[in-house]
Amino acid sequence: MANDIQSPPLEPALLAAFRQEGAVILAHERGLTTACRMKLAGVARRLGIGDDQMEAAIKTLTAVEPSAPPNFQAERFRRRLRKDLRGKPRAIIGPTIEAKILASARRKYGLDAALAGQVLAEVTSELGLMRISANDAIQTVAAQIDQAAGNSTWLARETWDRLRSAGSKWGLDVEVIDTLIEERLAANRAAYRQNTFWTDATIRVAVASVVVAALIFGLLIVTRRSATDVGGGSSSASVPATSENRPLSTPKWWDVDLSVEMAHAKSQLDGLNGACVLMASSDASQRAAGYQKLIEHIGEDVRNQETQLATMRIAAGCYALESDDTAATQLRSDLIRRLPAPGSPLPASTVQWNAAFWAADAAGLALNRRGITVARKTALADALAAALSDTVDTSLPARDLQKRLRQLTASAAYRHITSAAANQPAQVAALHPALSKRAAAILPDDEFMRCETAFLVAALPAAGGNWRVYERPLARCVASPDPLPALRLLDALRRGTDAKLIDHLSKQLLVRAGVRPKSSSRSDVIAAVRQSLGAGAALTAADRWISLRDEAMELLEKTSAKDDRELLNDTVTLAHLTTMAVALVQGQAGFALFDAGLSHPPQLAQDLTHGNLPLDEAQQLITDCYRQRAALLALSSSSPAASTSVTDAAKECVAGLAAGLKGDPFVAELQYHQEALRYLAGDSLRYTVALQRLLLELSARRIAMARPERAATARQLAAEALSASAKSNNVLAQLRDQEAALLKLWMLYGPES
Amino acid sequence: MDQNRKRWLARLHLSMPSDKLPVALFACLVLAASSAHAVVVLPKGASQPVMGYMVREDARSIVVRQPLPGGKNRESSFLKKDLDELIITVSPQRLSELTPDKPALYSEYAEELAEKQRDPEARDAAIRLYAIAAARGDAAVRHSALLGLIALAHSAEEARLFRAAAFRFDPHHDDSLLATQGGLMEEFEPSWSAAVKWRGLSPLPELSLERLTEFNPEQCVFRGGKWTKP
Repeated sequence: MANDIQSPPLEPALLAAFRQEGAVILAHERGLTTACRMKLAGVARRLGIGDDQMEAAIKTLTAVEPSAPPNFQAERFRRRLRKDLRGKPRAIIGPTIEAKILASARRKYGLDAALAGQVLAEVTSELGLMRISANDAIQTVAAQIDQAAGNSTWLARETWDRLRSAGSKWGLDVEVIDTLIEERLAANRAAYRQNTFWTDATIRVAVASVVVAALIFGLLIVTRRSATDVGGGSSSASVPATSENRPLSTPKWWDVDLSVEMAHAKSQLDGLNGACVLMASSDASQRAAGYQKLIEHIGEDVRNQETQLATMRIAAGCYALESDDTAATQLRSDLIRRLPAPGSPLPASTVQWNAAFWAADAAGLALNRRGITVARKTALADALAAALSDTVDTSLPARDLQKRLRQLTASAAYRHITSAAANQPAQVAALHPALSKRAAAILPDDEFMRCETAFLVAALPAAGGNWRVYERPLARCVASPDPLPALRLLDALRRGTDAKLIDHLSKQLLVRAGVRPKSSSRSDVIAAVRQSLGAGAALTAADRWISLRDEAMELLEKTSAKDDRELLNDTVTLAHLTTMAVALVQGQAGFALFDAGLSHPPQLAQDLTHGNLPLDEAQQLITDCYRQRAALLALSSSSPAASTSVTDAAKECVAGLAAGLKGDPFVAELQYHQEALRYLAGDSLRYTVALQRLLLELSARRIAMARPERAATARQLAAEALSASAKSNNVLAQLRDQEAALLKLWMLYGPES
Repeated sequence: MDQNRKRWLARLHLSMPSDKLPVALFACLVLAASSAHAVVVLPKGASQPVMGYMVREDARSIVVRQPLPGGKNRESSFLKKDLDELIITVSPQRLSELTPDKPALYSEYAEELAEKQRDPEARDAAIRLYAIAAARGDAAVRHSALLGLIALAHSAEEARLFRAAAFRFDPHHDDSLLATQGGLMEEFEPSWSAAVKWRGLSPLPELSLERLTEFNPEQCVFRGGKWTKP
């Protein structure tokens, strides 16, 4: 008969209110748990439902009912939240933000905190956002308070404010933070009292003992005048063990920001692999080791943004505030070492670019860090300027300075890989894409294009058959609206050796310039592109020297041929190129002859007879070259036809060079020297060789006078040529090798000889 | 000694200053122990002396290398008891007494040796000493040495080189050095093909006092049987 007494039925309105609130609790607690029942009981009591009716009311919650229609306002709120939060994948929903969202939900959609909170939880979970509860925030801030307060029983106003500020960032009310701080200080005070109780007691006992001993001692003196040795007292100078007994605390020179960062790193970043402990040491050398460890850690895992920012602020703070100059210098060196330096070993992987930019950011933060001394700031700015090869203006606003340092780092990184491009083409090719991507976001467009172009000019010729890895950046530079990159890439075209690269680059540049060259030869392509992109400007002297170098390089690097016909052929070409070099040295006056002559070198006719050396034909061609040379030296201009023979033309060249060397003892004896050589030679062929020797001597002396910085090279070239000629056993080889030496000498006038 | 030997010794005697012949003969005999010296051997009963370089010598015999035409050599062995004379022409002692600060002495000894033109070592030694004197001496010594070299040239080409050098390095630039026998300057072949046809592809030698001969004039001190730099 247990159910004999029936409970009165529940009033529907009351039941509806209970069901509305109870459903939320049930959902939140994920089932009818004990805690849930207790909460439901509280709601029921508040609504005035009697204990006897409570069970029935709870049962109505668990009864299977058709799904309730969705709450229209809640769905609107959900949509709104999704829209607002979707674009912020890194947003963290802290207590403050959550409170604002809930207030907004109540105001705009009439949703209570529980439902709105449930929707918020569902949306943040759906979007993968981080939601920090008040408890999480309190724990983190408490850890920071512990670190900042250490064993202190009081906190300076400034520290207090900093902690409040840090707490606010975590969404905690000021009252909560104050309470946390107060609790921590109260705990410290209690610990202090407990610790000092025994110390005080010991001191009191010790003082009392001393007083008693003194009294006894005095009494003994009074009573026994012949006092002898009085038993030695106990310890007279006991040093209180302070630091040893005190638990690890923060260095005194740390400010609150640094303390907070350190506490954060210690608790959230696993102490940065032990660096935190070392950096908190009272021993400066240990701190320096800690800094080193901190920066080593950067190289290992700098991709984590949180770690990156935290370590950056710690490094900046430590550099600015470090009490020991040696440790600070060590930290500065460690930072600078992370920056790219042309000539140093290339980074092992692209991850190290991150370390370089991290170092630049950390240095930028340090330069603007509160508490940094002028001397330390200047030292860091100087070190940065030296490493990045540019001035560092520390008066710039912090954000601008940071940006500038990142730009300088990107440029330095480009210089680094550009300088290594010739010797380490494969490594450079692997490092370039990551740097290019980063630099494109940092550098201004023109600067980025300049860096890319300079790099490509160095890397393309060195890449050999692997040049295609640069196809995209190459296309980007060629397509730049500014003609300068395309013009600079002409140098890559000049120096390129891979036939496919030359073909590809020629086509790209011709399309960019919108021109058709006279021929597909490299020099014609270069001339056409330059003329077109230079808006009609003529080739510069430097361009011409480079063209000459291109033409001459193969012959100059080639060893003297064994075949007499080939020797003659080489000699004709070399004589022509030497004349072209002499033309360039004359400046504007010689450019016309150069432009006309370089593309039309004289050549011996095909050998149809097989055996007969074309000596007289070669003699005639070389005579023409020497005549042109003499005319360029402005000596035979009055009677250019006078020199009918090769030796006459060569003598005119000798006279022309000698005219510019008046007072030289060699020139004073020149006439007799020439006569003796003519006698010694005995014929035109050998006399030409003899006159070539005079031309070598005179050319070297003229270059030494005009270009003192190249005097030693000129003298050495002439001496080596004469020495080699003396050992030769073939007059044609002498003719060829001496002409090659003459060309080398005259190319010393060029810009990049 | 038969008539031939007497004539030969008379020629040798005439080619040397009379007061120095006994000394030279004595020195040659005393210093014969140093190997690779030029020697003149007069076997008993032979009409012509044998001239060459001493290859080795012991108490009983001597081996002489004779340069033959065409660059070949022939070694001949002689018993000492079968020899009338054994003469070493170039005196190592004289050579070792020469010092670079007195280049005129090189020229003087070269003149003595140049007189023994039939002895190949004497001739080579003379060329070397002239080359040293030309490279290290003053204008007068140089000119004298260069003139001396002309007479010792092995070929017309070499004579041309020595004449050109004598003219080039003579302060007075004596034109007669470059004149042909008729007193005129030599005609000049203007065509390269004709020049090659006439003289082949032989190289143009260097007109330099340092490389005028096959000997390096920097090696101007004779020590331990070798020429070295001071």
